[in-house]
Order: sequence, then structure tokens, then C-alpha cells
Amino acid sequence: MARIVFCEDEEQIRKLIEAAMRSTAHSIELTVNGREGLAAIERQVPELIVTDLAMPEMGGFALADAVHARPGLGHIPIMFVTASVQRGDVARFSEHGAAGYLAKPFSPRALREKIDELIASRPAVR
Amino acid sequence: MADRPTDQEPVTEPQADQVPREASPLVTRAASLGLAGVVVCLAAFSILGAYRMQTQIARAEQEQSRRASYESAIVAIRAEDSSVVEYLLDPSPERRAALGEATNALIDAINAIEVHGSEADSELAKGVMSVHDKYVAASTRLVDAIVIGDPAEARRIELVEAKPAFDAMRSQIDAAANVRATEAFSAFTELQSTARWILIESPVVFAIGFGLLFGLWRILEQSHRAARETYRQIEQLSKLRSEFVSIVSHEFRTPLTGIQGFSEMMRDENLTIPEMREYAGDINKDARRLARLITDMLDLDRMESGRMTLNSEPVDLNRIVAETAAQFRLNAADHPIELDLDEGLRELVGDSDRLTQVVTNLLSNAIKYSPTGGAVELRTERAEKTVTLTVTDHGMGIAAEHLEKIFDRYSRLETTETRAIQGTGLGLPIVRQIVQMCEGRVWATSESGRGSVFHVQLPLLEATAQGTSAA
Repeated sequence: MARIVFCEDEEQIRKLIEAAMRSTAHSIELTVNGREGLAAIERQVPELIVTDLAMPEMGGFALADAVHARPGLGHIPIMFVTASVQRGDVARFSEHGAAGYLAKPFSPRALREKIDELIASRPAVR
Repeated sequence: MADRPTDQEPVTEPQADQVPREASPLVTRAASLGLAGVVVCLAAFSILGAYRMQTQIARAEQEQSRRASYESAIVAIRAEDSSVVEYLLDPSPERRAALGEATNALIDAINAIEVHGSEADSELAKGVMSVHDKYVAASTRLVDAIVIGDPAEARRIELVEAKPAFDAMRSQIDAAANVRATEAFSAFTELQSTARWILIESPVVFAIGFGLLFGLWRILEQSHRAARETYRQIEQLSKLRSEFVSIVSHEFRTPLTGIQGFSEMMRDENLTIPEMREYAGDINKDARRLARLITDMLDLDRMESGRMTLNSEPVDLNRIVAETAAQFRLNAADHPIELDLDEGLRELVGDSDRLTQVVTNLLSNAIKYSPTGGAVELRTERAEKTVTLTVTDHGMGIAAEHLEKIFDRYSRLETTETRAIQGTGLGLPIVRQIVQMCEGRVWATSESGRGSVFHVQLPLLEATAQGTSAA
């Protein structure tokens, strides 16, 4: 059981995430952009952050940078979920301190497995 | 297998450097050949001119020296003749020696003809030489007759032998000298005309040649520039296409995520019937979104290539606006949509489906770029010969330099603010295509940060005609 904050601007995908996570024991909070996500992260200090890249007001990379800059939040692993994994993007993910990434379209099962994997290996990331 | 990682292979973008670097049109090739041709012609002209001039100078010089040798022969003949006469008057040893000298000089002159001249000259010289021998023999016997004191014999020799020989010799040389003089004159005239030709013609020829060279060079330069421009445009198009592929792939992946995810859960998980229904509804929604995206792409393609024709039917623009707004109110309840419709609006002649598409795209744009809850106003207004539809939002607005560009295909503005907003960059290009096909115009005005206004102006001309005929 872990707390996870999701940031995703697409309503349909938020709904999919919610449905996919329903069968797990994790407690999740869904936010619509990086700004709201950051507020939720500061409030909750979750075990994992899963964020989209392109979002209004604050995107995934900006959110990751903001989280890493905050004392007491820098240890939280971040996973990027993106609709376009292109050449060089993977390198950019690690530049922004990604613990993992998932490309859209993704399978709910793969999402759950990736999340469990990141939560299990969390102390090592730290 | 189910635990197979989700496909994450990178999207391959089309590469700009696959475009050929040099476009070589026929004109360029023709101009290059022409340029080379002109250079070769000018060089040949110069070489031939110089060669001709040199040959003619050589010929004129030769003719001149032949002529000179004949003239000196004539002088030598006269000198010998007068030496003979002087010796006959006074047969002293001094006169004898002078005569000998004159004879030697004549022989030298005749030999010179042979040396300087042609075969004909040497034949002539031989002939003259044999006549000269007879003349010398006759002259000797003439002197002997005078010394013996036989005037009758001397007179006979003088008249029958010496004089005819001398005359023959003289006339042969004269005739040949005349021929030589004519030849020399003609060689000189020829040389003169060549020189004049070179002086007058060559500047003209070179002027024409350099004109041609310049013209061809200009053609080459222009075609080179055109090729560069074409290349630049192809590069630009390729860049746009690659951006478009990336945008479209993003747009396709979002609904595909829903379709794939919800269907997988329906297959693999134990769901209740209401959950099944709900997820099927979600899949349906995403599938329709994909279908709309594909329709938009195909529509724009058909419009841009002129393969789409519009219906001509009476259209009530107010009704279209009201119906579209009602449709949007159902789906985007958090955006108040205000209508201000001109009741005096006449019916237009147009394609109601396409005009609905115009209103839908503009309204959807206005809502997309407005903050949550931002009001959108739709207004119709009739002028004398036009109808104007304006769509006003209170969103982020558009910078002045982008007001034109936003109607270009695939050129959706990418800023930090807009990147997150969904769009294929096809909505406004479709609007512009439809409005232009209706002979209207569309433009945007904006105050950055305070919202944008999109204006669509459609002609009322045909509607008026229809209205009068119907009335």
C-alpha cells in the first residue's frame, strides 16, 4: 500500500488510470496538471509520482524539476507517461530524474506492474 | 505474452536530408551547354581570325618580294642594255669592265627570281637566261663587226639578233612582273579587307558573345537560386510534415490509450455489467474521436486539392449557430456560450454541413483556448452585402505576428501555454478552406492575454438575388 499522485490533463486517461488502479491496494490522487500535482505532492509526500509530459500550466518536466528542488521531496521516484517517445526523449527523461517511463497507449496491466516495480525498488533509488 | 513491455520503440521521423540537394531542370542544362558553346565559338573566332591574318600577311610578303625581284631584273636589263650601247660608242677596257658588271648583275637578278619565286618563276628565269645567252653572243659578234669595220654586218646583227633577243627578254620579264604586281595587289587588298573585318566585326562579335554569356550566366544564376528556393521549401515542408506526424501521432495515441486500456480491462477483469457498459461507452467515445481526426485530415486534403464541392442550398446561419451552440452546451457545460444573433439576417446560399463545420471548429477552438468557465460569444450581423459571424473568447489571445499563421496547415502555435492544448492544427485551416470556397474571408484579431475574436465574412450577393426572386 502506497500513496501515488498522478498528473494527467486528459479526462479519459485519468478515468482509465482510476479504473486500472481500482483493483490495487494503493491510495491514489488524480490531478489535472503539474501545478495541482505539486500541491498534492507537498501535501501528501507520496511514495511515487506518475505524470504526463504535456499539460497546461505546468508540464511533467517542470513538475519533476520543482519536486527535485524541494527539500524533503527529492527522494520521491517519478515516472513519466507520454504520448510520444521519440529519439532522445529517453535521455531527457533521465536528465529530469525519471525513475521510469511508460509510452501511450499503455496497458493497465503494464501500468500496475511498472508502479509496483518502482515502489519495490524505491529504497535503492533513494 | 501479457508481460511483454508496452511498445516503446521510438517514432521515426522523416529526415529532411532525404530530399535531393540539387534540382537540375532542363533550362539549367541548356544554359550550361549554351554558355560552353558561346565560349568555344568566341575562342574559335579569335583563333581563326588570327590564323587567317597571319596567312595573308605571309602571302602578301611573299608576293611583295617576288614583285621586287622582277623589278630589280627589269632595272638590271636596262642597265646592261645601256652598258652595251656605251661600250659600242667607246670600247675602252673600263667600259668593257662596266659591261661585264652589268651582265653579272642581270644574271644575279634572274637567279634571284628563281630563288624567291615558284616553279613558274624558275621556268621563266631559265627561258630568260637562254635568251640572255643569245643576246650576249649577238652583242659580242656586234662588237667584233664594229671593231673589224663592217657596218652592214653590225647593223644586221643589231637588228636581227641582238635587238629581238633583248626585246624578248624584256617583254618576258615585263609580263611576269605585271602578273606579280597584280598578285601582290590582290594579296594586299585581301589582307586589308581581313584587317578591316577584324577591326569592325570582332568588337561586334565579342559584344554579342559577351551579351550571350551574360544572359546565360543570369539564367544559370536564376535557376540556381530557384533550385535553392525549391530545396528550402521542400525542407520546410518536410519539417512541417515531420512536426505534423509528431502532432498526429500524439493525437492518435491519446484515444488509442483509452481504447486499448478499457478493452483490456473488459477482457481480463471481473467487471459488473454497469462497469462493462461504462467502459464500452468510453471506448466508443475514443473511437469517435479518432474517426473525427481522420475525417478532418481527409477533409482538408480534399479541400486543398480541390476535390471537394460545396452544396448550394438556402442556409439559415442563425439556426446553424444556435444548434451548434446547443450541442456544445451539452458537452462543455462549464463554458457559458452567449448568442447575439441578428434577426434581420437573410438566408444565405451555401453548404449547411460545411458552415456547421466552420461554426463548430471556431467554437471548439474558443472553448479550448479559454480558461475553465470562460465565456464565449457568438454573434451574427448583417451588413449591406455581407454577413459576419464573430466568435469571441476571453482566453490567452494570440500574438500579432501569429494572427495570419494560425490559419496555415500544421502550424499550430507551440508555446508553453498552448503545448498542452489538444489539437491537430487542422481546425482553422479547414475553416479557412471552407470560407474561401464560399468566396468569403476569415481573420482573427486579438489582445494578448485578453482573448481573441474570429471574424467570418460571407457574401450575401446570391442570397439577395434568391430572396428577390422568391419574393
